[in-house]
Amino acid sequence: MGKHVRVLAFVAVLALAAAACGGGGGGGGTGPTGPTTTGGAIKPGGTLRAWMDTDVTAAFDPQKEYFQVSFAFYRCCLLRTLLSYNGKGPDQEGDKVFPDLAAEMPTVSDDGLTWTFKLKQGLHYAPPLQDVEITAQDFIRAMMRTAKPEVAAGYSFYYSVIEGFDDFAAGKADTITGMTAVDDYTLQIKLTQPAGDLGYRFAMPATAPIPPNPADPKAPLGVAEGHDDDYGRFLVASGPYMFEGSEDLDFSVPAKDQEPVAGYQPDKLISLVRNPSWVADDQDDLRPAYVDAISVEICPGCEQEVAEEKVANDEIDHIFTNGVSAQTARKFSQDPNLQDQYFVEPGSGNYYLAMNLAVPPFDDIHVRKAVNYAVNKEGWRRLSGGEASGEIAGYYTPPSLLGNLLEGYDPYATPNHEGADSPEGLQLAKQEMAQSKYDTNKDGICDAPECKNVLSIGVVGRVAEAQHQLIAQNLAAIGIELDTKNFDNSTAYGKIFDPKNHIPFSVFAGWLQDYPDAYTFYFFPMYGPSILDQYNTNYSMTGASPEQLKKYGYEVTEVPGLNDKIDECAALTGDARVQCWAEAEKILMEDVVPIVPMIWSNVEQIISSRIVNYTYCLFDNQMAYEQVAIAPELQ
Amino acid sequence: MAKVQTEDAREDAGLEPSLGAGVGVEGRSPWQLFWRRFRRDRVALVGLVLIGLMIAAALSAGLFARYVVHHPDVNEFHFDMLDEYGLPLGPNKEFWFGADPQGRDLFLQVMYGARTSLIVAFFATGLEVVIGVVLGVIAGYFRGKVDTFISRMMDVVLSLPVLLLALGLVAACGLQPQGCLGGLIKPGLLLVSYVIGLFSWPYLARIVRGQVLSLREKEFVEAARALGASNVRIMFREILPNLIAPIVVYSTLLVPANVLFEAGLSYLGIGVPITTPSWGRQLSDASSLFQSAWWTMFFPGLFLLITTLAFNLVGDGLRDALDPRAEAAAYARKGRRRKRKEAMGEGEIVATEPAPTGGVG
Amino acid sequence: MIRYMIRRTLFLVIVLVVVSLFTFFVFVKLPAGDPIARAVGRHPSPELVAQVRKNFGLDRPLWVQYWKFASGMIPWPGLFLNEKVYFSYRNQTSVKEQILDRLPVTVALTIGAAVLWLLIGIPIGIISAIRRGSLLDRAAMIFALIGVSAPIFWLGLVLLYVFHFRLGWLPTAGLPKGQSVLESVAQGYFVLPWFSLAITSAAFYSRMTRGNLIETMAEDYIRTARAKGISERRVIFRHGLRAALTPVVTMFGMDVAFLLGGAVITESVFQLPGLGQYALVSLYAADFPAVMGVTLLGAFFIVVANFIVDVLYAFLDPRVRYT
Repeated sequence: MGKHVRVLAFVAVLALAAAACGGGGGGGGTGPTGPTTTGGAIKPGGTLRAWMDTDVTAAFDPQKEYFQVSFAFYRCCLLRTLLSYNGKGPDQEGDKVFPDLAAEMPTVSDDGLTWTFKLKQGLHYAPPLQDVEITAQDFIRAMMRTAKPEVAAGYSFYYSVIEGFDDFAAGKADTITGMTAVDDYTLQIKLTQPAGDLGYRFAMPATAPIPPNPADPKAPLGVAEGHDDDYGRFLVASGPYMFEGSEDLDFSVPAKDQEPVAGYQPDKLISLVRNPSWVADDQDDLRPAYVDAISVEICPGCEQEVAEEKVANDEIDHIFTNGVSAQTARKFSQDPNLQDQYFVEPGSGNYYLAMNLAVPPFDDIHVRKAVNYAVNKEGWRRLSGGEASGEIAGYYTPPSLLGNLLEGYDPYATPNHEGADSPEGLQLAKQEMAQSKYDTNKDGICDAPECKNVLSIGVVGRVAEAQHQLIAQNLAAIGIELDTKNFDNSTAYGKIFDPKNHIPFSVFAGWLQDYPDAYTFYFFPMYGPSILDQYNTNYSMTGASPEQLKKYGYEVTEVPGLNDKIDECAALTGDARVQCWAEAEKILMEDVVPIVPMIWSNVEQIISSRIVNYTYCLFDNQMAYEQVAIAPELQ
Repeated sequence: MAKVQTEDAREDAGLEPSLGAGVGVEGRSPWQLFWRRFRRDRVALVGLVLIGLMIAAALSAGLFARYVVHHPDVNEFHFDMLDEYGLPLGPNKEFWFGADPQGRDLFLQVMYGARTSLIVAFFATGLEVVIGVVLGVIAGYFRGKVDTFISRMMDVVLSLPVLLLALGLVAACGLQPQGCLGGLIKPGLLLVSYVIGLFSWPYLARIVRGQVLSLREKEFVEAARALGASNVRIMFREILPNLIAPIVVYSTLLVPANVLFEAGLSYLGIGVPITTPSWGRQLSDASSLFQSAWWTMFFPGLFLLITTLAFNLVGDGLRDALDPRAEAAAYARKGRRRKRKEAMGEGEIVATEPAPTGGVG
Repeated sequence: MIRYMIRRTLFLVIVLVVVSLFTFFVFVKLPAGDPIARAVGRHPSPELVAQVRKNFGLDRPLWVQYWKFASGMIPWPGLFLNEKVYFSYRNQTSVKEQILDRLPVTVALTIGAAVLWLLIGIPIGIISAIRRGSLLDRAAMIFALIGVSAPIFWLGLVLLYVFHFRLGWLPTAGLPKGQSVLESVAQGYFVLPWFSLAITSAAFYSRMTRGNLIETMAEDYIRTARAKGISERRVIFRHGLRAALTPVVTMFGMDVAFLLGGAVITESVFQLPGLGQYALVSLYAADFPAVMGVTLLGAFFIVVANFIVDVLYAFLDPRVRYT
C-alpha cells in the first residue's frame, strides 16, 4: 500500500472501538488448529514475537485507551475484569462473558436495578504489589477514576447508568453512591434504570481494579493518584502477564518522581513476561497462557510488507494490522507451505452508506428503499479486495450479535447483489422509486430537482474513490445525481460529525462494536437522544425529535426512528434481549431505512509456522495470545 | 576560413587579436561568444535534446492518451491489469510500461508526470528568480541597512528546516479541496511551486547580491550616475543586463534541485494532489512492490533521472560557456597538442571538456 | 571579539524567534485537521470535549499557546521540551522522551554519512582538479553528475534492491529492536543509508571542490608561488586548498546541522527510527506538539551550527568581525 493511503487513516475514529468475541455467524472460518500440531499435548514456553505499525493511543492508560489493539492486550494478558471473554471464536461462545475476577455470574434484583458481584478470594496483583489482594474497593476506585473529569476517559458514558456516577463526575459528591463494597469480596452496584448488558460493560478495561497504594493507603485513587496523564506507564497487572520490569515500580515516592515501567517503551517495544502472582493464584479458567513472554515491536511509519515478509520467514509470529497487503495475500494463498498460516475471520464491524432522513430527497422512504435496491454491493466489495474483505450485508448489525436469528434476511436483495447493474435489480429499484413523490412521472427515475446535485461525501484513496464512483453510477440509474466530493479522513469525518452541515449522503461510514451486544450498534448511530452537537455519529438523524431538527436548522420537521424499541431492548436480558434486537433490526430495515448496509467486514490473519493451537478471538479481532502456544521444538 | 577560426581561438584564449596584414577581424559580442562556446559543448547539447524530449512528452501526453493508447483518462482504473490479488501486471502491447499499483496505465502516468515535474520546476524556479533577483539587486546596490535587513532575511530562510516546513505547508493547504486561509491557497501544482520557491530564493539572491556588489563599483555605473540616472534605472537598465548570464546559468542549475524537491514531497505523500501524476509519488507507490513489479519503479525513476541529468548537463554547459578562464586553463594544459594541430592547419577548436566544471551547483 | 559574539548571539535568538513563529503558524494555525478526534472517543459529551481541549492546551488563546511552545525551546532544564506542552497527541507520551530516544539513530546516520562524503567527495574533487581533462577526471565528474541528479529515495531503493534483495550482502531496511544503535551500526544496518546520503553529497562536494580548486589555482598568487619555485604539491596543498576549502567547510557545517534535524527521506526509505521518521509519522497523525518539537529542534541545530561557524571564522579571520 502506498504511504499516502495510510497517511490519513490514523485519524479514523473507527479504529478506536473494540470488538467483542462474538458468537455464531458464518463468514470465513477459523482455520485448522496450528500447522505443526503434534499428536501430544501443547507445551508451555517460548516467546511470542509480534509487530505493529502504530503505537497504542494513550500509553496503556485503561481509562483512556479506546483502541482495539489495546483492548486485546488488556483482555489477553494484562488486566482481568469482573467478567471477561473466553478468547475464542464465533462458534465457541466467544460472544459471551464469563466470571473472571468474579467468582460466579452476578445476581440481579427483580427490578434489574441492583447487581451483586461476589469476588474470587486470594487473588493478588503483580509485583511490586504481590502482597496486595484484589478487593471490592478496587473496582470502585476504577470507576471513580473513570468518572474523574481530568482523566477524560473515552467511554465513561457507559457508566452513567450507575447511581451517583454523574454526580461524582460533576463534583457534587465525594463518592459514587451507587457502588458499595459490602465487604472485601462483595460489590454491589445500583442503577438508575435497568441495563441488561451491564455485564459486558464490566468486561471493559476501564473497570479493571486499581490497587491501593501501600505507601499511601488514604489516596482515593490508589496507585493511580497523581497519574492523571500517564497511569498506563505505571500499570500493575492482574492478568497472566505483566510488563517486564514491573517489580521495579516504586509507589513509595511521589508520583512525579516515579520511573515508568521498563516493559513499555513508547514507539518501540512492548515486553510482557509472566505475572508470578497470577501463576501462584491459579484461579483463571479463561486463559491457559502457554507462552512465557510476549514481545511486540512497534514500528510507526514502517512498511507492512516488510513485516509480512518476516512472518513468512518465521522471524515474527504475528502482526497487528488492518488487513494484509495484496502481495502477501497472494504469496500466502499460493504457497503450499504458507497456506495454512493464512486465515480470513469474521470481524465485528460493518460498512454502510448513510442517508440523511432530514434532507430531501432522502426524506422519502421510497427513495431510500430504491437506493438500497440500486447499489451494487458485489462490485463495491470487489474493489475492496473481494470475498476476503467481508460478507455482503443484507441488514445492519453483524449476524453474530443477533444469534443468527436473521439468517438469510435480505429485504433488498438483488441477483448476485449487483443492484442496478443487473436488469432485475434496476427494475426493483425503479419500481420503488416510482412510488416516491420525487418521481413525478412515475417512470422509476427521479426527476424532481431535489434529486440533482446531491452532495455525497467520501474519502480519498484509490479504493474509496473508485467505490464512490461506482455508487454514483448506480444512483444515476434511478435519477439521483450525486455531487461526489472526497476528502482526507479527518476532514470527511469533520463534515458528517456536525448535524448542522446537513450532509445528505456519505459513503465511507462504518461501525465497530464495543462489546458483543447490538446495543453498541444502536446506541450511537441509530438513537435520537444520542445526537450530539459535535462528533455526532448518528449521521442519518434517525429518531431525531422535532426540537432537535429545529435546533440544527432542518426544514423537515419529523423523521422516523426506533427510540422506543431501543429503550425496550436495552432493559432486557438473555434470549428475550436478542429476540428484541432482531425485531428492532427489521423495523430499522423496513420502516426506517436510514442506511444501505454494504458488508460485514472480515479480518485477515497471517502467522508464522511456530504457532500451535491458533485461536481467533472475536473480541480482539485478532489471534488470542493467551490461547496459542509455540511449537515445542521451536521454543 | 582558417584565419577567422584561429582568430576565434585566440579570442577564446583571451589573447589579443593578431594583426594580420589587411585581413579584417570580425568582432564578436559577448553573447555570440557565449553561444558559440555553448554550441561546441556536445554533452550540453545532449542535455538540451533530452529536455526537449521531456517537454515533448509533457505536451503530447494528452494526445498519446487519446489517440495512441486510447486511455483518455490517466487516472482510470483498469481492472483487467490487476491480478486476482489486486497486484499490477507488467508491460504488454496495450500498456507499454505496464500498470501501476493502482491499476492505471503507467506509461501515461509517466508522461503526465513529466508535465508535473516541468511545470513545478519552471514555476518554482521562476518565482525564485523573480524574488531572488529583485532582492539580491536591491541588497547589493543599496548596501547598508537595506542590505543588512535583506541578508538577515536570507539567513533566516536558510536556517529553516526546509523539508519539514514545506511538508507542513503543503499538508495544511494541499490536502483538502478548499485549501486554507479561507480558500486563498488551493491545493495543486501551484501550491507546491509557491512553497518550493518560498524556501529557495536565498540561493539565487546571494549570488546576485555578490555580483551586484562588485558591479556597482564599475565605471559604467559611475558614468550613468554622473549622467543623472535614477537608482531604479541604474539597477535595471545598467546592472541587470550584466547579470542575465549568471542568472540563466544558476537558474538552470536550480531547476533540477526543484524537480527533486517536488519529487521528494510527493514521495512522502504530501506533494501534488493525488489526481495529479507525479514521478515522486509513483516511486513511493512502487517502493513496496518493486521486487515483484520492477516496472513500477524503473520507468518513473528513469525519467526522473534523465530530466534532472539533462538540466544539470545544460546548466554546466552554460556555466562553462560563461567563464572563459575555465577554458583558458584547459587551453593551457592542452597547449602542446593544440599547437601541433594548429601548425597542421586544423583550426577549429573542439571543446575538450565533456564533463562540467565544479562550482556552486 | 566579545562584541562580535554578542551580536551573533542576538541574531541567533532573533532567528529562532522568527523560525518559531513561522513554524507555529504553519503547524498550528493553518491545518484543518482535528487533533482531538481520537482522544474524545465515540460519544463525547460537550464537557468531555472541553476537557480534552483543556488537557491538550487548545483552550487557551493562540498567543498563549505560542508562548508555551516557544518557551519550550529555551535550553533551560525544566523548560526545554517540557512535558506539559510537548506531550504527543498521538500516543500521549512525552515528546522529549521520544526525541532523546531517536537522536542516536539520526546522529549515527549523520556522522557516518558525513565522514563518508568527506572522504569520498573531497579527494575526488582534488584529484579531478589536478588531473583536469584526464580520463579519471571525466569518470569522476560523470559519477558526480549522476550523484547530483539522482533522487535520494530512488538511489536508496536501488541500493536496497541490489545489495539486499539480489546479492544479500547487506541487511534489510529497519533496525532490529532491543539492541543499541552501536550494535546495529556494527551489524551493518547503516551501510546502505550512509551510502545513499553520502553519494549525493559526495557528488556535490566533489564538484564544488574541483571548481573551487581550479579557480583558486588560476589566481595570481598561485602563479607567484610557482614562480618562486615551490613544488607543485606544496602549492596545491599549502596554498590552493586552503582557499578552495573554505566555502566547503561552511557548507559542511550547514549540511550536518540540517541532517541532524532529521534526514526525513533517507529515514523513510530505510525505515530508520530517527528524528526524521518521527517528524513524518507525527505530521501524518496531526500530532502538533511532536512536529513542533522536532522542527524547532532542527532549527536550533542549524542556527547553532551557523553561530559556531561564524565565530570560528571571526576567530581565524579578524576582518570578518566588522561585518
